[in-house]
Amino acid sequence: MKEIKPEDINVILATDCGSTTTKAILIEKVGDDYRLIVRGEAPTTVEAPFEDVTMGVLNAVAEVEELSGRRLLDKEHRIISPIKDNGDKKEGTDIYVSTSSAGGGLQMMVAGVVRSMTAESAERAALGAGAIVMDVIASNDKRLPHEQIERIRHLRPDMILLSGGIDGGTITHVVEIAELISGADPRPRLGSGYNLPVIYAGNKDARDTIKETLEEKVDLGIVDNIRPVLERENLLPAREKIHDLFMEHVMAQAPGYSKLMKWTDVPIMPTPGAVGLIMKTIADLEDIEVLGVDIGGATTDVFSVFQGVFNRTVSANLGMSYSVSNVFAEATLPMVMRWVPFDMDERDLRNRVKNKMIRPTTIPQSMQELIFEQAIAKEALRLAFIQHKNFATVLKGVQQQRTIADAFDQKAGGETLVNMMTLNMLIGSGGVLSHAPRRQQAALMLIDAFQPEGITRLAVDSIFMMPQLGVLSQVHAKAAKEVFDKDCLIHLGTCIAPVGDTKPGKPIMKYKFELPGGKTEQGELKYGEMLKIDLGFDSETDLPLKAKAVLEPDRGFDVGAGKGSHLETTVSGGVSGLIIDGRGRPFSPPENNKDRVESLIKWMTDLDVYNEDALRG
Amino acid sequence: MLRKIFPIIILLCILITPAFLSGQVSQSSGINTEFLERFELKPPTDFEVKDTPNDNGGSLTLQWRLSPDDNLWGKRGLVEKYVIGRRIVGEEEFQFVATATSQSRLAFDNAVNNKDRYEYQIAAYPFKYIFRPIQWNSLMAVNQMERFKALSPWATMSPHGVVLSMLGQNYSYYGSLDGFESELAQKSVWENFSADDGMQGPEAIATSFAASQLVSSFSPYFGFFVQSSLTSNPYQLLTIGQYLGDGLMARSDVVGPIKTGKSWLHMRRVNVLVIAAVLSFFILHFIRQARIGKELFIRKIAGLDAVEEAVGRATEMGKQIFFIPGTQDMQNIQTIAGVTILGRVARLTAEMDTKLEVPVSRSLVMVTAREIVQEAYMNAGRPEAFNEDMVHYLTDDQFGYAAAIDGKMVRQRPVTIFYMGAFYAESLILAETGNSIGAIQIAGTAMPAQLPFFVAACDYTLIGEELFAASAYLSKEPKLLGSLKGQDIGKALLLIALAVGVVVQTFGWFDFASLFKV
Amino acid sequence: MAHSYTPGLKVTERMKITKKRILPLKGDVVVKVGDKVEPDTVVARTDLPGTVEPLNVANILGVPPEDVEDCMVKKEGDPIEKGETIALNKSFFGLFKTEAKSKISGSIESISSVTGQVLLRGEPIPVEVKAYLQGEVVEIFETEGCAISTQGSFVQGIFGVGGETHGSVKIVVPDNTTVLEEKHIDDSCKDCVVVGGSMATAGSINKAISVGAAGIVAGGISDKDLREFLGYDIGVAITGNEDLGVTLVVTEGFGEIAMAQKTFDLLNEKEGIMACINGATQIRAGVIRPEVVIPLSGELHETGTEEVQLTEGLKVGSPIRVIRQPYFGKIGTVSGLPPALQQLDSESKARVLEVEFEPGEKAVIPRANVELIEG
Repeated sequence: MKEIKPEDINVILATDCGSTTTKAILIEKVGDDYRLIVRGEAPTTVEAPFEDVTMGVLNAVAEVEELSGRRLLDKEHRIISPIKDNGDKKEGTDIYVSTSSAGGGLQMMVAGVVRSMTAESAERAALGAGAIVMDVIASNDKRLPHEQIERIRHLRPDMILLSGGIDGGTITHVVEIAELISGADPRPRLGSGYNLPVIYAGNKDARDTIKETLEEKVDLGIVDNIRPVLERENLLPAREKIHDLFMEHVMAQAPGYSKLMKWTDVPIMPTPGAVGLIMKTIADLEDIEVLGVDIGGATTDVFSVFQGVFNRTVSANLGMSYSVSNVFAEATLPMVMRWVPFDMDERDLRNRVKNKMIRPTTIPQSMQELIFEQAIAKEALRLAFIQHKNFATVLKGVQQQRTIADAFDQKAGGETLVNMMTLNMLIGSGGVLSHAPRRQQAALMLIDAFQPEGITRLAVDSIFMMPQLGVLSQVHAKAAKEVFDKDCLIHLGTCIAPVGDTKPGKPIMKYKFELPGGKTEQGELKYGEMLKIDLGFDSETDLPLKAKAVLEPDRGFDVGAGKGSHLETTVSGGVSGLIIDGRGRPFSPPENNKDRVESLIKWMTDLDVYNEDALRG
Repeated sequence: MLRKIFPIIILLCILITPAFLSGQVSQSSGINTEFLERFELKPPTDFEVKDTPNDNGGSLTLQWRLSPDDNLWGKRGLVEKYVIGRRIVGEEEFQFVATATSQSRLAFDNAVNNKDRYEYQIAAYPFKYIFRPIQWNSLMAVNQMERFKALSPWATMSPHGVVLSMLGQNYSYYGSLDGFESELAQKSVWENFSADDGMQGPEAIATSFAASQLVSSFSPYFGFFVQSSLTSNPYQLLTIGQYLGDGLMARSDVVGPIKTGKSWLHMRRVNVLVIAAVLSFFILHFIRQARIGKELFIRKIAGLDAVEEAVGRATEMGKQIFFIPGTQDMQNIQTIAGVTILGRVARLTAEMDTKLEVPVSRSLVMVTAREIVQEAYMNAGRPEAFNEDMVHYLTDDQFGYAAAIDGKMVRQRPVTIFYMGAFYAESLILAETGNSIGAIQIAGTAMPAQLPFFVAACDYTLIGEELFAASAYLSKEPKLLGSLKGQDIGKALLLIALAVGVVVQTFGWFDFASLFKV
Repeated sequence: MAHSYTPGLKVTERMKITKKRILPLKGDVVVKVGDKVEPDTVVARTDLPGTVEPLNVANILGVPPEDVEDCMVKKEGDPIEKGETIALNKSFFGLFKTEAKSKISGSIESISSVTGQVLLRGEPIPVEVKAYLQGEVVEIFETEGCAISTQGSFVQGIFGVGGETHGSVKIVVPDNTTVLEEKHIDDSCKDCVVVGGSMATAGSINKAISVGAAGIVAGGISDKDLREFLGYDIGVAITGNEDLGVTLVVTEGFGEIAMAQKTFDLLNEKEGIMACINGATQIRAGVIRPEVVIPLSGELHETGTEEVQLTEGLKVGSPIRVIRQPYFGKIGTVSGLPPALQQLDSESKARVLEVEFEPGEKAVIPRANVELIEG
């Protein structure tokens, strides 16, 4: 791999090979800034009849070439890199990077000693590396050893991450699990010509025994302990090893990847891993807390960076098409219907959901269908978020220090890191959010499902270029950030939601916004009310406009500065402007059917979410 | 009303009885039968026998209407008492079972079983001396005494003798016995009480009765009493008495057969029932809620949530876990609660295959703890990993025990230590040592004096009630969770009742406390 | 997007159907190329390694793990019987003995001196793969399996439950719009593939199981009935391993939808002929649809019957079925294909087509919501 200095990079080509489409983007330096120039896409060509991923990549790049007018491919259909100076016209790109989730992504099984400690750390490492965790084996996962063996044999993961024991801690437990793996003698999912890769990232004292137990049966890699002491996680070595093995084994098995691997300037990353990377980068650079969600047809990924800690969860059976029926089963009908402002026949609804499951590509034609589909999306997002909250926690198993003052206020370890009040930015992506006919719908889906508290910026990633930016951030963080800020997201606006509870109709907050152009918008927010204040984009830079906000919540309400405390801040606009949510937190629609329908219609018309006639009709 | 009369009746009995006791000495011959017939008592009426409610078949309730002769002027009549007889169906003879005083309408027969069927009879039993007030239509002077004629049918018939009692003064009177049949006179008594002018009706009589004074008791051997030093004050003859025989008891109809019944409901415990029903309702309601998967909010108890974490830590570190169930024996409820938690801890150590050590200071605790740990290992599916020596005895001595555990801590360096049970002065000795070796410590005790030490030295402390709520909290079993929640509601209701009671009782609105009396 | 409409499900009168029959592990293939096979013919067999049963000998004997090796009566690889003593610990000159007995028959897989754990491997489990189709073996994959081809009618369903089975086709309803009810099924349906019309009710499915029918093919099924029948709600459409006593193939979707006339006619013509059906469905990448295969006589390598038509895509006049509300289940022909994006009632912009259901009855529908009826 060649050495590239970030400052020399002017042109960047990045692709993401998804399971259905391959997306390519071209980034160039314009003046001092990096900007997205064009994007192109083409169907992914991993499966028959093509069975060569590079064909799709080349098609996508060709589209970019066509749209940008810049030559990127040579006559042999190779990407031109580095740049060739061809007289008056420059050809090619400085660097080329790619991500991939084709072929079902990276499917892993992880194992640890205690489910909530080393096994969870292992899970975090695997998820953070972009894998789908098929199962977690632990000493205390309530399964008997022979059941665990059956499970390992049955699942056929791409690789296994084994951890357990702090350095100097238990040996027997982790060796026992190694014995189970050895007894199960698992075969890798793809191809039978090689041994299953197993990464050992546990107690360093157990390494020799682990080697003895496993070396003959699997392709064993040993890295530093994931949890050298219980108080600290060290996920990086394991993650890097996962990426390496992903390249060596998994990618190498997929058709065409060996060719693609040679083209790229940095290793190909699993798509979700790259998304995590860009989110972490942005959160670190701007010192903000970010929550992102990608709702797909089969799975929903939730990413978050809270207190500087990155977490990712994959809800394997929550999605909008293949898994829609499961969302329905898990959330239950009344929970979905509480977001729908009209009655629908249950039997018919259930059939509709199942029909969407077996025919995943259909789209809602009528407004009713759209509202119903978005109601399901809200529940899918809510359920995925609950899973994420339970996973994104501080480390467990840490000793606590107490004083006598703690007698009645003992906090447990392992609390969730997710704090909606301190969250700065909520990013949604995936068809149902990105392709919602009105952006307000996406905003409302995010608000209803995640219930942001205080002041939270909302955005959707409609063209889904976060993966490419993620890989790019490894090489050139500045370029990645600049493109992320300016071109990646569609800013929906800001949600302002005071936290508290009171009777409907009671005033809960005074607000005053100094809008650009000298206009001020002020008033009083009542409980149970939603307001929308337009605040769009700067016509020159295309960036969201900012407004100075003075918020004075009532006693018992909190917008981020504490209960009843006055807050002055700057808020940024977007397609939907400022959304002031006075429904209180935690919030759920009224139970009484008549009130519920009325409130929903009022909120939806006030925010201009759906056509009013359709709601009433 | 009745209460006012009652002492008077008693007084009357006291006053009168000695006078009549000896009346039995001689009797019978020469009694004017016409007279006796006229005095035949009327029996009590509407005699009823019912099973007594709320006593689970322990007795029968007997009720009747007073004999008409038992209610003269609403006071006392010819009836001294009622005699109750009982027989088992099929028997001929009634057995005496109880007496009831005159004016009573109710009696209980406790000497019954719930197998036999009984028949009852009640009889009015006359006074041996029957007093019958005679109202005079005019007041007389003493000197007119000898010439007085009773105006009532009674009096005209037999003015056998006179006893005079003068209000407030000590007068005597000598009366004449002309034409009296001496034998009958021996068995009769007249009482005479002075009274104020205008004395009318039962109330007035009662008053004068109480205030009057029997100057001298009547002895049947004397035909009459004479009171001397009479003035010209008016007086009134109120009562004459006549002896009647035992055989003149007036029997009621036979009632029955009747059998005692097991009662279904003790009505007087209904308040208890209501409270129990309310509590049960809440408990059952919450159990059901828990069963159908509704999330019951139970305050987070960090100490219990941390149990799994603490065991996990020991597992990851490959070290031991200590569980100290306190220094008290099994009869202490805290020890029981502690041992319950031990079950949970053992289950976790079994699942995670971690070494557990339970040093105990009482033999009974050792036996119980062994059972519980063994069961936990069986339930976790790892019976082979259980070893009896996990639970072992140290010493009964409080400080010997503490010292031994401290020694073990320092040598074996466990990474997790539980203190669950009753602790005294050893609490800080143990907890500080545990803290110094860097172990995660979870304590739980209901000893208020020891709590501060545990809070300061341990990672988590279960305070009082939390220790007892632990089993529900840990198992998350709907039954336990529901009853915990239900009991909490019960406690809340009692607290509210307490507050309301204080207010109501303070202002004296009504007797709130009576709602809770049993 | 490559396709802005869903390619329809295949319903073909006659085509060459080839199925790979592969063992889960390497084993023996017992047929050879050219063999004629029946659905029940075993084509390959192998032995799956037995289940593994761990036994913590150190705990059972009460010895430290490092001593387990010495206590073992049987060594690694030794065959063992159920109940046989595999390890023995003697103390006090043999006065006290503790034994560890095997829970299964098989062999000793491994002995660990770190955990004291001994892994016992159960006896191999024989696995057979049957031909499923009536046809001819056309290819052998050494030690893995074979491919079987047949000439016949092929109907792809949209959703199914239950595994591979076969039986003769029996039409029990008068037309494709009739709901298949309990009354339609009688004892004559035993071992048959029952073909219903628009919907299979819960009653009819239960009746089919009780009379011993092999399978049911119907236009639709109500989600409620399916839940009752399965006893659980299907969350993700991955089926085929259910053991329900009958295999169900739904050709159109959920709810009451008439079976496509063509499908119904095709099955109607084949009444009495043996059909092989499989309810296995997987709607994910690498989609698997349930199917009905009716092997017909005729030379395999006959030319002309192999209708490998490449889908030409939608064009005016193509017969289509609408697969989403509000016109769900309706069949019509494409009457116009406007190229520009159009706004739908839901305000989304999408490529649409005009469809004519019956002469004069026209509607505009997004292309994603129609399915080409293929022929």
